[in-house]
Formats: sequence, C-alpha cells, structure tokens
Amino acid sequence: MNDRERALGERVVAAIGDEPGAVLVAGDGPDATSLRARFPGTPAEPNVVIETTGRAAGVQAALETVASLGIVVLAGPVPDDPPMLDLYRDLHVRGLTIIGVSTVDPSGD
Amino acid sequence: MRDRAVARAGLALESLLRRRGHSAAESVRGREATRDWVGTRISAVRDRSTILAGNHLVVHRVGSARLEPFERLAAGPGEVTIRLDQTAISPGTERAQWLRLPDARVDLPHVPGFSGVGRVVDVGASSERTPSSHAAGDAVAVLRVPHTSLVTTPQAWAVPLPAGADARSAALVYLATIAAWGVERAGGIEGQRVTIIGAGTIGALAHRMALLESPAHTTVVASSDRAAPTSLGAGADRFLTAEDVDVDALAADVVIEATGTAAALRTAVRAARTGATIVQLGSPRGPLAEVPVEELQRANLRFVGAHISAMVTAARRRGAEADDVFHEVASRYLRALAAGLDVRDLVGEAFDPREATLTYRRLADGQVRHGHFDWTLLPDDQRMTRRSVTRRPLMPWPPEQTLEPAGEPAPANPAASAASGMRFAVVGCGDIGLSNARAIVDADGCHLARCIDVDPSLAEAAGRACGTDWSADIEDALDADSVDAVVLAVPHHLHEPLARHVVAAGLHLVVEKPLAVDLEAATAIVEAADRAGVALTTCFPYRYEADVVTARRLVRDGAIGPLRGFSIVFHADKPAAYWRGGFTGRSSSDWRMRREQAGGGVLIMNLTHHLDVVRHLTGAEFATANAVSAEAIPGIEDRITVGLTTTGGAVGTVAASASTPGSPPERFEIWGDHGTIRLTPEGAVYTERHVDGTTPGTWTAFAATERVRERAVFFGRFARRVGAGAEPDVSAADGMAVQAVVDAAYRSAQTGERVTVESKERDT
Repeated sequence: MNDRERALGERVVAAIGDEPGAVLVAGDGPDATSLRARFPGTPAEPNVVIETTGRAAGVQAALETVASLGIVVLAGPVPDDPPMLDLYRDLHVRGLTIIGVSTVDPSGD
Repeated sequence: MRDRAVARAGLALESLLRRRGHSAAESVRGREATRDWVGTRISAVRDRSTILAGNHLVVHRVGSARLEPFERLAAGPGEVTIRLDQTAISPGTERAQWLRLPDARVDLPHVPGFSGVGRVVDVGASSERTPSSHAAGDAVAVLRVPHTSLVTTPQAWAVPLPAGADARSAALVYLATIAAWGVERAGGIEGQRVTIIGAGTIGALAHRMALLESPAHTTVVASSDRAAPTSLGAGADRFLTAEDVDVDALAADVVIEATGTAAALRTAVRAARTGATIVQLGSPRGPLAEVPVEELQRANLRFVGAHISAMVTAARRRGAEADDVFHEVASRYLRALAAGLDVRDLVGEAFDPREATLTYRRLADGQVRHGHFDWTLLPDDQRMTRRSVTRRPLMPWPPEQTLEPAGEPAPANPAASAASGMRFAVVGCGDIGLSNARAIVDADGCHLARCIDVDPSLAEAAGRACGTDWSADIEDALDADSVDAVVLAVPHHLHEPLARHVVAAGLHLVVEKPLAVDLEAATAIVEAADRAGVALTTCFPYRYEADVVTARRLVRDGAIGPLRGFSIVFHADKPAAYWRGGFTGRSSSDWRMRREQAGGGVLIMNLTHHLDVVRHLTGAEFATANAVSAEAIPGIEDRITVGLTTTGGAVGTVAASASTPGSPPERFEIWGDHGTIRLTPEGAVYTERHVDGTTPGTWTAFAATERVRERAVFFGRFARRVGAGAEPDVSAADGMAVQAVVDAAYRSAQTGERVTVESKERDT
C-alpha cells in the first residue's frame, strides 16, 4: 500500500467515524484492493458502502445496498458523466448520507 | 357465505344508486359509505361508544377537492377526540400532490394535510403505555392529522399547548417537526455557520429551528428577495439571492437545502466549505438529479437525506417508539413557541375549507406561500355532531338543494312610488306595443294615458284592451298636460325621428329595443334627450326576470369571480308570415324585411336583450366583435355567429338563427375564474366559492318561481326612479353600449375583419 492509498484509507476512516458498523467495499475500482485490506468482509446489510468505481451504476448499486440511514462513500475516480439519481427515492426517504472522499493525493504526487 | 351475502347486498345498493341517477364512481362510493356506516354501528354497539360526525377535505378527483362528511367513534382506550380549529397547509407537498408531480402522486380519493390545532372533546380510558394527560376542553396541537374538522387519534399525537403558545402557529407542528429533524441531521450546529437554501414554509421553519441551537451565523438564500424582510427580521445575519456571487464565499459549515430543486442543490454546493454537511430537507421531485460527485469528492462534502420517515427509522433503531419521538420533538417546538419563538408570519392566509379547490388552484399557481384551513368558519353542526345508531348513512355527495330567488329589486324610492303616478303614452300598438301597454296598466306608480298608432284599428284595439284612450295622431302622445313619458314601439327606423319629437316636447322617452336602427341614429337620440334634459331608457325587461336577479346577486357575491367567458345560443323558427306581420300578424308591415328600416336581422331583432344581460350581470364592456353571418333576405341576416371580447379580457360567443327547425331551447351561460352561471334553459350555478345557498363544487339549481311581470317591473321602476330625479335602471349609455356592439358585429360580418366596438369612454 503506497502513501496515497494509505492516506485515502485514513480519509475514509475519518469520514465514516469510529463506529461505522458493517462496512462493505464495493466495486473493482483502482483503490478497491487497498480499501478492502483496511475494511475486509462482505456484510449482507452494510451500514457503510465504499464505492470504488466512480461509475453511475456503481453509485446506484451502493445506494441500494446500504441499509437505511447508512453511508455511501464515493471513493472512486471522478466520472466523466455524473450519475443521475432519483434523489427522493435513493437518498432522501431512506435518510442516507453520501460522503465524497478525494482519491487524489493532496500533495500532488 | 356471509361475505357473499354482504357482497351481493353491496352490488344491489350500487345498482339502486345508479338507477337514481348517480354516476358509477358515486355509486361505488355510496356502497363504501354504507359499508362504513354498518361497520361503525357494529363497533359502536360492541364498544358502547358514541358516533361522531364531521367533515373532511377530500381530493376526490384530479383538480377537484370538496368537503365530505364522515363518521368516527368517539375516543377509545388510549385515544382522544379533537375538534380542529385550524389545520396547516404544507405548501410544497400539497402543491406537488395537487399537481400530481413525480413522487407525490397519491391514490384518489385522498385527504391531504399533516397537522392542526384544536380542542379535546372526548378522552378515552388511559392506556398503560400512555397515561392520559388530556382533559376535555384542553387546547392541543395534533400531529399526523389531515384537513378535517374532527379527529379521533392516539393520545401521543395530541400534544398539549403550553400557556403562551400561539395556537395558529402550533398548527404548524408537523412541519416544524420536519424542520427540526433536518436541523438534527446536520449533526450539531452550535457555533457553526449555517446556510438555509429556500425561504418557503419548510425553509423558514428550518431557519427558526436552527436559531434555537445557537449557530454562530445564519444566512438565508432564496430564488428572489421577497422573503428578505421576514428572514432578516427573524434573526438571519444575511439574506442572499441564489444568483448573488457572495454565495460562493459563504463557506458554510452546514447547508440545509429546503426546496428539493436541482438548482438549489447546486447552490448548496457553492455555499458549502470543504468538509461541510449538506442536508437535503426539501423533497426532490421530478426527473433524475445530477449528483455532483466531483464537487462532493473535491470538497469532502457530506450529503444527507432528511425525509421525516427516516426519523421513524432512527427512533426504532434506538429502541424508541416513533410516537414518543414525534411527541418529544413536537413538545419542544410548542415550548419554544411559548418561550417566544415567533412564526406567525408563516401561518399565512386563513382559507375556508369549503373553498378548497380554489385554495389549491391558487397554491398551484404560486399565489399562496403560507396558509391554513380555518375550520371555525364552518357552522358548528358541520364541524361536529353526535349521531344516533339509527341515523341514515352520510353519502359522500352534497344533498340536493335549490337556490331561492333573490327577490324583486327594491323600488328606488318607495315614497315616490305612491306620489309619481307617471303617465305614459304608448306609440305603436303592434305586438310589443300592446305588451308594453298592458305592462304599464299593471305597473306600480304608472298610468296609461293613451295608445297611439297610425293604424286606427290597432290603436283602438289596444285602447279597449287596456281601458284607456286611443288615437291615430302622434300629436296626442306629445301633450305634456296629460303625458309624462312616451313609449316608442315602432319600426326601428322611426325611433330617431319620433324620439326627436318626444324630447322636444319635454317628455321622457322609453324606446323599445334596440335604441335605434343604427349607431348613428342612436347617438342622435341620446344627444337630443340630453339636450332636452329628459330621461331616456331602452326597454330591456329581461333584467327583472327572477333568475337574472338571482344571477346578478351571485355574481356580486363572487360566485363566478372575474368574468372569463359567456355563451349565448338563440334559435327561432320564424314562419314566412313573420316577415309581413310579426308572429301574430296583427300589424301588417314588411319593415322587418328591409335593412334600412329594421337595421338588420336576428341579431338586432332578438339578441339585444341578451347582450344587455351580459353587461347587467357582470359590468363588462364589449371591446371587439368578429362576426360571420348568412342572409335569407338581402340585408337581413338569418344566421349569425359573433365572437366577442370584453375590455376585461373575457371571450364569448353569440350564435343565433332565425330559421332553426324545431327551435331548440335557448342557452345562456357566463363563467369566470371560480364558477359558472347558466340562465337558460334552467337557471343554475356552479361555484368553487362558498356563497350562501350553494355548495362549493356542485351545481345548484335556481328554485322554480312564479312568473315575474318583468315589463311591469321595468315600467314601475322607471317611473319611481325618474320621478325621484334619478337615472333609470337602463341608462342612455346602456342602450348605446348594446347598439355599439350590434353595429360592430354587422361591420365585422360585412368586412370579414375583427372590429373594435365604439365606446364613448375609449374615444374621449
């Protein structure tokens, strides 16, 4: 795990808090392996889903997978086309939280 | 077997209702109402409970809402019954439901609404879990109650009003709970910089609730600056519009987005600092929204959904009862009201529940920002009654009713009616002349001095029929010693020359419609009467028909609102002999066939009454005419259709035919923003307003009355008003206005162009 991956992992931990409950790393994005090393396991009803692909389908799937009042962490590449969602159904009614975490090293390396 | 019997009975009832003229949908609802009636009685007997009746607001089909009666049992164990005073309107959600927006399409029929305030009327036995703290007469705010006059609800949903809490503000309790949940979802805002996007009811409440948590700074951002004064007055440190570039520099720790629009979400992202929390409080509706992934990741933003249903989920996850959580949050809001939280500006207009359709239309048009339904406007027996077990079912449609007549217009000066005794001479003793002569004999304060006609036989026949003198010499009509007013019931081309003689003799003038053969002659008559200082009127007796009087009262009471349209359809089947002697043939003359004598055909002969009634009912003035006609006799239109506009923007049509086989009944309808009045074939009114004698959202027929002697009333009122020195009911200007629109229609028919109606007011 390089410094960038380590820093990303720490930013994700900071975002989801100390007791996030069951965490699932979803998708096969560039940082999926390093994030799974930090968050192993495949819980059936995760409280947190860390989405690693950045693709619209991946974000949609993450919102559908996470439990009500849960958190979806966007930890994938910035998509060329932003995902279009039914925010009422996919976020609002279930009380979900979407947290954006930059996958870019702030130092620029 | 019992279920089959019940089903068969229900179908039989539906069939009976259909045979009685109810629609399929009404028959189904009637069956359901009867089923509910039976169920309520079984429960009442079993539980030894009282049956209460009230009214609630039902959106029964798309675009229409009305009050419908219902029954409930009085409070059982763990329940309270409350008579509501006000129920708050949630503008965003109820507007979305009314417009059937995505994610807001509720099944119909639907009873909208969320919370209200009222008084406890019945308290059920305490339950173990919820010891009752209610007593009859207590003022309470009620959660999760729709727009209704009466509710029986679990005790937990009725939150006592603390002393000092404004009751109408308390009705907002459910919306305040939603707003408080949104603030809570931000995760603590004490000492934080908070921005609220949206200044509607939810946004404003979110701001007020946020202020209770001691933020360091609050900014309200809205699409316009309309709410700036109230936001700043409520304690906002700053108010910005969404286009303001300063939004980008707000660097808010917490942004609460209270509108649900995609544009507002973009504004929220602009206002947020790195690491901020954006709370989606307003419900997004409509098409899919773009999730600003790049911005969320670049700035490490948290984007939190805050629908109220998630509060229930959160409560259950903590092991708490949802009822208790709602009660606690609601109590906090009410205590804040008692401690001085001021949201009275969010209470908004008080709307009559009987005018719900109008209210929701205004809400949909953006004319209503905040509001509530005020149930105290209803009579007590519509808010709550106790019903016996044997009382007949309440059907979900209004009872049949008719509108009683408004009564004959009062005399202008009752004292003058006895003193004036105006003396009339009738010139022209054909069919209409004879009718006028008889009417004068019957009219209060009038005396028929003599009947005049160049045909001595007609004059004599009229004189004998009316018991008065007769003559074939026009000069006998101009004797000021024995006559005060002259009625001209002669061919149209003779109106002007005879009128000049009458007014020159100093006598008042009544001209049988139309005022003259054309606009130029009418103008000459008016000017001559004005110079002579005598009264001039055109005989338009339709104004005094009972249904017209009722219709005018309804229009004045606001039943139809601003005029938007009118439709007049007239049919006659004039026999060939009509053209040479009228309908009876008493007066042999072919003047009706000659354009230079009649001035035209069916429009000028028959429709001037109707044009006057439109003006009389509504005060409208005609602006343009666009006509198409066809002639059976050269210069005399047999059929005509006229498209008319008014200066107020109404659009109407007059369609007339003098040769319709079978002569179908006439139709006369006017309509406005809020309702429609039909005069013929039978008088009736449909209005969305609450107007005495009507039920909003239904047709009410005018009650049948004895025939009014409208011509006698016309002459009686003329005599009273002119005798008292007042202008007649039908003024010279009224006669001219009708002449002008007829003139415009004929010019339009001739040129094929749309023509402006000449008007003295517009020309000066």
